[in-house]
Amino acid sequence: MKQFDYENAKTIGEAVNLLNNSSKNVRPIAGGTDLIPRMRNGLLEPDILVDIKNIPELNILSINGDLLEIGAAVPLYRIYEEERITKSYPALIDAIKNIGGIAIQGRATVGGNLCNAAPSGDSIPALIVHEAMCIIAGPTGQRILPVEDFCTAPGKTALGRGELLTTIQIKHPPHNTGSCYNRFIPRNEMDIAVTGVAASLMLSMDRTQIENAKVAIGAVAPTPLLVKAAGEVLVGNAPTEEAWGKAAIAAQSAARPITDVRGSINQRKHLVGVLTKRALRKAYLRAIGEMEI
Amino acid sequence: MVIKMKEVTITINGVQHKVKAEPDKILIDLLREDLHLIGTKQSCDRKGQCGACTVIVNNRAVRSCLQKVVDLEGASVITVEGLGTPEKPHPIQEAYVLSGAIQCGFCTPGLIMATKALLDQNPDPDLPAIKRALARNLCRCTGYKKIIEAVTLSSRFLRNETTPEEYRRSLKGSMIGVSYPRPSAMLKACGLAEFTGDVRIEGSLELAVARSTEFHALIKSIDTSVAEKMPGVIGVMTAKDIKGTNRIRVAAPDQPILCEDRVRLLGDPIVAIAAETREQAKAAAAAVKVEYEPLLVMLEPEEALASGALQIHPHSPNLFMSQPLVKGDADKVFAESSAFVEAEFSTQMNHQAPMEPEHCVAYLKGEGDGAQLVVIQRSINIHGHTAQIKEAIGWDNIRYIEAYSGGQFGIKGSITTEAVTAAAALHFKRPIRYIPSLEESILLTSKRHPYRQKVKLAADTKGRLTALHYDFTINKGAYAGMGGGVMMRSLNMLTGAYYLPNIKALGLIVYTNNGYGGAARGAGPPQTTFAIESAVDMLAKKLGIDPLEFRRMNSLKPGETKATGMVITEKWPFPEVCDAIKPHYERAKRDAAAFNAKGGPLKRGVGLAAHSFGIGGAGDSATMSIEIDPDDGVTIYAAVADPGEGNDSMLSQIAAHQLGLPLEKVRLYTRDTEKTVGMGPAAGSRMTWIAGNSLINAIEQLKATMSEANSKTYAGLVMAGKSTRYQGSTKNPGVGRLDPQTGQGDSFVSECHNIQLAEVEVNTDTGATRIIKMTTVVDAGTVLNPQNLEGQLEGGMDQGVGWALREEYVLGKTKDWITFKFPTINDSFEMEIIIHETPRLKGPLGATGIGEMTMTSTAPAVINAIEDACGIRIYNLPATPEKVKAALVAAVK
Ligand SMILES: Cc1cc2nc3c(=O)[nH]c(=O)nc-3n(C[C@H](O)[C@H](O)[C@H](O)COP(=O)(O)OP(=O)(O)OC[C@H]3O[C@@H](n4cnc5c(N)ncnc54)[C@H](O)[C@@H]3O)c2cc1C
Ligand code: FES
Ligand code: FES
Repeated sequence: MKQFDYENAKTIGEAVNLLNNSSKNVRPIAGGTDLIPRMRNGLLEPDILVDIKNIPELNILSINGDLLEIGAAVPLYRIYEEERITKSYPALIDAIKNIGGIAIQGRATVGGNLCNAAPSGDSIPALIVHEAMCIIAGPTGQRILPVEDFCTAPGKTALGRGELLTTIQIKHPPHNTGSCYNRFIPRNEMDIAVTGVAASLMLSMDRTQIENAKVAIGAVAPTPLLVKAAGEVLVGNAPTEEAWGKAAIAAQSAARPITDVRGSINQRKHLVGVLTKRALRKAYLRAIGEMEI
Repeated sequence: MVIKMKEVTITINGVQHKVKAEPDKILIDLLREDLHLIGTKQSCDRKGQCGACTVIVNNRAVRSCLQKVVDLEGASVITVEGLGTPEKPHPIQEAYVLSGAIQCGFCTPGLIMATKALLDQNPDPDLPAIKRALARNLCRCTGYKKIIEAVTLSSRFLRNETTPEEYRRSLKGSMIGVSYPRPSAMLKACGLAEFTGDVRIEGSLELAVARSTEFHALIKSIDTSVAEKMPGVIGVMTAKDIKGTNRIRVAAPDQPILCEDRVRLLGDPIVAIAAETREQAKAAAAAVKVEYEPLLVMLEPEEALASGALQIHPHSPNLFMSQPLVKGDADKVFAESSAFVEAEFSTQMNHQAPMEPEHCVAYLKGEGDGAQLVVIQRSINIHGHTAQIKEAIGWDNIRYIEAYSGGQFGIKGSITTEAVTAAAALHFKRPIRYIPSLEESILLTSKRHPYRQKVKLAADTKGRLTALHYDFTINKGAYAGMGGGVMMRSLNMLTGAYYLPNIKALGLIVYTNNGYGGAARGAGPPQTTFAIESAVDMLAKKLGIDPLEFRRMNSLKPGETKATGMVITEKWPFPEVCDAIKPHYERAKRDAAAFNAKGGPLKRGVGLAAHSFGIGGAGDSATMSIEIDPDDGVTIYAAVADPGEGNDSMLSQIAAHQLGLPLEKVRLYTRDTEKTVGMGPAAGSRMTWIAGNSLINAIEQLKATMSEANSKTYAGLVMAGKSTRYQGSTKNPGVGRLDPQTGQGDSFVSECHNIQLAEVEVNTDTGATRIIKMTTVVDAGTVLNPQNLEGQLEGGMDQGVGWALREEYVLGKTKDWITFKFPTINDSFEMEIIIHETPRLKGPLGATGIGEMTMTSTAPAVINAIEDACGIRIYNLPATPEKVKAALVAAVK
């Protein structure tokens, strides 16, 4: 590993100042579970790492009124150990329980998963269907970005120089809403998603109609994608297998996968269909309260 | 740039340490390198994949390879050494030992720490909770069943429902047939067993090797000038610095320690560099410049056999070897026969995947020409491997000390990093430690040979097998390794449990530029049996005979002959093995039918496969010694490796039984070329048979002398002027060589009989296959240690399923434990083992071997079950979801 320097930021302002350095390659480090292996393999060679774990605001995990706030340094386990969150945000919980196993979840963060911007990053499709917002601090102040606009290319985000993701905000889902994330991996553990799909559904009061729906797909395009067309074919329809089938076709046509060691184009396209249907079925069961996380 | 050191105060195993750390320092280095707490292991080169480095930080399980030290101010860290010691073990350590959850033990410390973190939070975890907590701790040996049992037993100990003492009280009665914990288990559970990477030699340099980035090329020039001047570098070594043949020879002298003028395989070693630290050595190796002239790359046998193809090695054409087998007149039968099936099958190249990387240490003891070169690695054949090193590096006085071994599964059929490390110790005249990364370890070791096979199998109208055509081509890869061994083993065990009067077979072994084939659990028969047992099922279906009945009715009988023409003289208990599986088979069929009646995309199926695996090659022999000690205990001096299968238990339980001694009084001296003599590799499942028999021979001599001296004590023997040390030996009858024209001749002297039943569920939406349960009936003669026998079966079936469903080695792409997909605990499945004991007339106390048989019938049982579930047959392993789905789609069209 190349030598690097290490700074321990205590405030958001301090971190932003350190990051806003034009002559050096500076990177934030949260859990380090992506960063450390990459640096060891020589894929990343920062001059300075800015540790953001000791910034109090970034460790906040709170539910205020109908707003969930996840600080960018909050390790995953804190999220799924909080019952109020598991009840209301099942797709996110499905996703983060998949990331890296227990010993990784003690350190890894949702912020890191998002900023890493892997096409297969498990939390990202889930955050998209939860309509999460990214709060970003930078040299010129704060800005807010919907999560589906955050990743711009494999490994690339909308963050500019000196910018730091500080918080992820998610509104409480309305009544009669259910969501789910599921992925396909070659083993039952250990692997990176060949394909991942998240879905959320909001049903009418009498539960006979879909009032709002979102489908997001991962590992089948340069970034995780919100498939608007899949949501649109569902809204106004009854929650049936037929509807899931239509949404699956819409999701498949939005997918632009590549062939790599994990899977081929054909297999991935096919899996988008299977996983979309599964995600919608489960989201539906959760919306009507017949399935726990 | 000035690097800021930070001082942090950390409590490690209850002791406060103030440490100054650089920003990039990780906890595993602090523990292992600075504090020499070697219980914390690493397999994945610190990529967070293996879990062997798991420790507890502030009550949570943490991967110490991803934990920066500077983040640990005020933290409390517990490592496996902090739990207990062999004198005062922690209940979790006791539970792992008593459950038989420790084979090679490389994964054990990490698993024990993950278990501790789980039980601290959840004192009574159910199966899903256990799987979740251990999901990222890999184990290649056990199939996870006994690990799950160990966690459950730990929780019972901790809740005071039972105690280790109570549990141990059940271990009594005979020395044979009782599951005494293996002798090294407690050391491994406490993190005190030294594996090679744990050995520290004062003044060691670290080695790194610059390796070929080409698959096949001439070396035009090697420029080490930049590398030599880099910080910390002590020197470089190239082929011309090597004094011996510079060739590793097992079957053929074809593998250079360092390449001279040509590379034949991606990753071939070219320059070795010694430096003060591993990072410095690696940086210098990366700075070596090699200029290549690329040659045509031939990865598949067809390419290498094409007319005019470039010859890969000067000493041999690309067709390395061929061997026919002719028994009866198969052509004639096929010309007349009505019922036959015909198909082509292939198996993939695979990695044996021991958890421990190919670490090695070498140093000179003494000075000048008489100095002794000590080599430390994990070997399964210390004397044979010493001979290989001697010849390759040109130094006679070599001592091989085997460290504890983190698994091997055949990968150590030949030496791996020993030659380059030993040559470096001679060249640099300093102790050398070579810690290759996992990626390098995977590149430089032998692999399971891929097979292409054509099978044609016939039966008469009554369902008796009549004839077999079997043509197979083995991709040898770039180096000979064990040479024709796999092919001979395939032919020797070709027809397994069955009688086949007419056979025509031809095997070819072809050099290519692919990963080189060596021994891999089973070495040949698993590949062959996949094809034959698939064809057996196809033929049974064609004839309308139940596949279990079909197998049973074709069993060999005494007086009939195996594929090599050898006549069976002993009882052949295969029909009884079939009878024992029958109720399970029928239950499984009913369960699957009931499930499938519900409809839906999930389809269940049941499949069988069988094999009678040859143990104890014709003409094989072994020698060892036993010595009575002053306290009237004994020490066994034998070059018998135990990379995890349980040979230590076998030796000590046999000796204790024969001499009426408690186990504590049987000592083993097995891992050092000093004071032992060569007895061949711990391979081919031969050790129980051959070492067991030679031990019994030595003990008989000791006992004869005791009765002559009329004393059973050391003092008595000395007083009577008798020797205290006895050498025993044994030799199997026959000549271990098949006729080059007909493939007929003496074969194995014993068999391990087995049938396996796979219950699977295929998701016809995705093509993913889930194993619900594997049931196996096995007859391995007298059982010496039931827990070890089960451990072999469970680990073998787990590996067999991995090989059947997803494992594959792709040269240049398979680099770590993500790209090589061996089963995790979440892929584990229910297993049931039914033991049938037919004592073998010539086996040690009636026993025979088992280690490799365990995975031989697994893959065909799984593939036959997939066919039963959804009507499609997979001919090319592995049966990935993609292949299964494609076959389902094709079947609909
Ligand atoms: C064994 C193992 C298994 C894994 N399995 C999975 C898996 O199944 N699914 C999956 O999606 N991922 C997986 N990962 C990847 C990784 O654990 C996750 O992506 C994790 O969520 C990253 O979080 P982190 O806090 O460790 O990020 P870090 O490594 O600290 O950071 C990741 C990247 O984001 C940047 N960054 C971090 N925080 C911020 C911020 N607040 N603002 C701006 N930039 C920031 C960093 O500079 C870096 O480039 C695995 C990793 C390992 C080692
Ligand atoms: S060394 Fe830490 S997980 Fe492998
Ligand atoms: S005992 Fe688990 S890897 Fe060997």
